[in-house]
Amino acid sequence: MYGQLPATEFDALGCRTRLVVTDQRRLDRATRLLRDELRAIDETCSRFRADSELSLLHGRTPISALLAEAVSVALRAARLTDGDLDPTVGQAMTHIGYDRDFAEIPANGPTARIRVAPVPGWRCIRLRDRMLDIPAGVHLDLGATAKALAVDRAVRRLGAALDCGVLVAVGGDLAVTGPAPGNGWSIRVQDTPDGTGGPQQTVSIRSGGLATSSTAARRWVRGERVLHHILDPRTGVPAHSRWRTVSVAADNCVDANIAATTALIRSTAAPEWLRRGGLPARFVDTTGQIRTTPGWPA
Amino acid sequence: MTGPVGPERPSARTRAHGRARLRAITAITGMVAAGSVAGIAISLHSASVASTDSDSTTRQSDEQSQQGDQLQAPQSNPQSTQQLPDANSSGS
Repeated sequence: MYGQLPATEFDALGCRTRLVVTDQRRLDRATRLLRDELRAIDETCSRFRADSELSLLHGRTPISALLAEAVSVALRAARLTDGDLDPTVGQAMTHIGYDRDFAEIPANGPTARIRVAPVPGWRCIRLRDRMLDIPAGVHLDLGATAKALAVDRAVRRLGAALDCGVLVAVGGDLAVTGPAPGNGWSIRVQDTPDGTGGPQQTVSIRSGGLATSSTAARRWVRGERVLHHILDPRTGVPAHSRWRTVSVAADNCVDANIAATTALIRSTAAPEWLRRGGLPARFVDTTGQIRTTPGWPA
Repeated sequence: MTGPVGPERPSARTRAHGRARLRAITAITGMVAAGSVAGIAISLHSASVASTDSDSTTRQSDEQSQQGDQLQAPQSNPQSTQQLPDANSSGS
């Protein structure tokens, strides 16, 4: 059950999307603008659409301003994380079976041979203004950052067009803008979208972004092996982490998402990394125990 | 009486042992190179495609100009609340 603010929900980018505004009269227009923004990201950045701009990339190519922004954000994420979040995991994602919209992937299947190999590495990608150069055989997956970018772009656009407070949440990624409700925007933080089985907490924010990454979501089984969508670029296979879920608050959704996903990959080193960066975070380990960094409420 | 001149020749047993070690190393190297060690976590550093000197220089310059960039902390920290949630943040 949610609060009483005007809101709507729909599916986009393979996730449940929720839009909340502080003024009922703005909801219809906000919904149209949000759908338009998410459609543009999907048509540009989706790995699962044969007709997306990303899917049609090859070699040295001039690209749209939106794809250039998405690739630039992904490369920044790689640079800030020393390659722990790497957009060249596209082929590795395909090898582990994540080659279509997640809803179409069978939850169980026979034992599959898993290829262990480092991904090509983000430094082989060259982006100069809107000219993108990708070596043959390298496939980009912008999934780690494009969804968060969509959220940030959407709240900026809605905030500029509407004179009210706005919250946009796509899957685990959310951001807010404009005047917040009296006690702030309240956000329930949990392992999976249905919230079953894991510890939950409700926190409030007044600005910026909040993102949750989890190995408990988007997972599937092949033989006796459980696979998930958070890949370690150094091995090209799902990261083995002490944490199953990490939530991070930041100045914007992209930075929150970069921190949360990288924290899963960095495992035991992550809390100190986020503490040094001044990023409030909540970790849930594989046994359900919770740990936080300074700034995250008890 | 004088012995043979030059390095002592390895015994047949030593030579056989050396060949076996070489075969084992070659096999492991081949498996890693082919990325075919299923189910075993191997920590490898990311490979990078070699670039030309001019590209490296440009990229180095780009990276130096972005050295101040970092993940941005929120302007205010999250607070604990008992309110009904307006939205969820969950793994997805």
